[in-house]
Amino acid sequence: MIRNDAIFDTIRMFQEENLDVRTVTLGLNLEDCSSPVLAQLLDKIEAKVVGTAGNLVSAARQVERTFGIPITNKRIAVSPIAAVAAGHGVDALVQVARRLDRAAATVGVDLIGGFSATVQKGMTPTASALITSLPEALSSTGRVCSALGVASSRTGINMDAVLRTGHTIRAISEADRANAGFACAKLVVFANMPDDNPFMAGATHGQGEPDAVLNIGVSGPGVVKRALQRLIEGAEALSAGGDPESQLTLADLAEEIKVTAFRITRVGELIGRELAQRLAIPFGIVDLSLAPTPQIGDSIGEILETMGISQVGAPGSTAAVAMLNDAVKKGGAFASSSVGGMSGAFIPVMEDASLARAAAEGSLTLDKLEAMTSVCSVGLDMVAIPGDTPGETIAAIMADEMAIGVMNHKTTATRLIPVPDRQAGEMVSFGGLFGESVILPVHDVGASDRFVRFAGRIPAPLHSLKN
Amino acid sequence: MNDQTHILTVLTPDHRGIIAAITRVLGAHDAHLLELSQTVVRDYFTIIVVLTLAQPDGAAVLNSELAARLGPDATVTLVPYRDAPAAPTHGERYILTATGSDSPGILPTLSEMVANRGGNFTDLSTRVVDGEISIIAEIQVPGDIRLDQFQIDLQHAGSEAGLRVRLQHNRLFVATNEVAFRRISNDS
Repeated sequence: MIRNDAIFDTIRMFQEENLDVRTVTLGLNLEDCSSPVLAQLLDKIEAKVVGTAGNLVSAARQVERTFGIPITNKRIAVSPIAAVAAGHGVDALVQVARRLDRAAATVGVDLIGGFSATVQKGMTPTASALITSLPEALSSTGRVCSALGVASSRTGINMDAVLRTGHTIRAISEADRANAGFACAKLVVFANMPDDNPFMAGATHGQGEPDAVLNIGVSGPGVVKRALQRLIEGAEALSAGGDPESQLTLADLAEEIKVTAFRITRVGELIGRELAQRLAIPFGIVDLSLAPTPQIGDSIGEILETMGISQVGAPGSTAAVAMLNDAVKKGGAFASSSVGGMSGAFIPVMEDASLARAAAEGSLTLDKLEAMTSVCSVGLDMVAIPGDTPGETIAAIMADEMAIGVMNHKTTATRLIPVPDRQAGEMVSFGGLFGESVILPVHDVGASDRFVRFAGRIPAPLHSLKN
Repeated sequence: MNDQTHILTVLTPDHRGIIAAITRVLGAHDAHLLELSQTVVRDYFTIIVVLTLAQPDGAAVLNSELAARLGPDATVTLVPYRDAPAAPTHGERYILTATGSDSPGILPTLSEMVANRGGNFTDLSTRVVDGEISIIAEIQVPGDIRLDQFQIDLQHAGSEAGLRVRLQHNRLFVATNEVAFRRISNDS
């Protein structure tokens, strides 16, 4: 039998430290649903989603009971709709979104991703129509999420798409004015968009994936924070007792994070494989991202505070998050041979109470967030900005974030929310897991308009030429 | 197992040299050791040994020599091994844990519930520190029961006694504590 203390260590992760399986996401190929006849396209999409994912929620609940582990979200990611619905126009795409929404409701999942397009080098007519359809598609549905791949290290940055998306985000916000622009939280704009990301809103079932696959995203900021607290408190107690060997170094903290990430990842792999087996589909990947929630004790910001950054955003924050991100990856990679998705520490401002507080107090700015995303996952995520921020400026913010991803061969993204009729310093709240935050100021609005209006493509970096 | 197979148990306040003393006496009698389990519970040393005696009628002598060697505080028993029907091993291995304020009736309640569902305890330890009890048991749970109802019943029984009771598959603890992740394993 496993040692008693090891058993209680495991139980404590769930019982006291908020560890959960954040999402099980069924990746589903819809390319075989294509049809030039809209009614057939819609029916085929709904039949395949309901037919394949019909048991997802009930099977997940069985696995929850077997292991006594909560699975917070059950979700679906489908093939990019811009490819599935090739040849159709804006109105048809809105109907596809509504049918996806209905299918998701039927099978009992809260979000369905994949109303997406990859346009990093150019744009098909359907991809263009999909972007045009986004304001209505996202504001008139509750469950549909979208991702746009506008840049990659192989192709560079499609600034035509970035500029267009900047204006589209403003239009989505206006279309969802009644909900303070919440629909923008369902659109993620990517550089190096992953094909197997299980986390919403950016999950899409990409090219090269099986017909159906089960991906899993674990969480666990609270577990990491408590592990570090125990280590530090233990060392301080020894130090008070006069033990000269008790002085901790950052390497000790990194080691503790690594070991904790190992255990978190193992939970994900276990649950993922078990659920995939029950659904009779292949297991894909475990994404070991640390994904916070607004709940106290489930925060990346609190981890940084425990590491000695008393105010997130202060000098040292980027180094701290870099060390955290790296240690999580090392522990996770040792735990599983199936690590994928984004696999890093998320810093979504609205969804992390500590980060939201730091933003409200002025220590965490848009610029510091951008610096931190150069060493962690995944980008300017759930950032509320003034509702009158021009599309060009939104595009310029996105271009900066895409450049970090393209030049560093990593996935970066933005999820920006212009909040209609509100200015920097005012609050916005979306409730539940989406949290609340102050609206961050955007400085020098308009100062980069000329740059983004050049449009065209920022060429691929030299180090993309590897052959 | 043959006619000379015996079960030796020793219970004594823990101190250094007990195992050395026991094995020295067993060696002097050419007793062949088959299986052994030893632990210390709240400062008391306890050991159970399955062994085969060299001499057909050597049990009484061995018993008295061990008792003399271990002193008056030790309780030594040596009884013939009897083949017992094997305990049922069907089902999957789960870990039952209970934590909270010490409650005298909780162990009989939980163990009765396990027995009534056809489950079998294969390992059990409990500890009370400062009025807080922790119970950890490894049990075989038959595959044909309604697991969710069993878990609810256990939790209900625990909460009535002020305890938090959980029943979770053993593979969770293997996955989070062992270096290798065994996708295919007979460790059910």
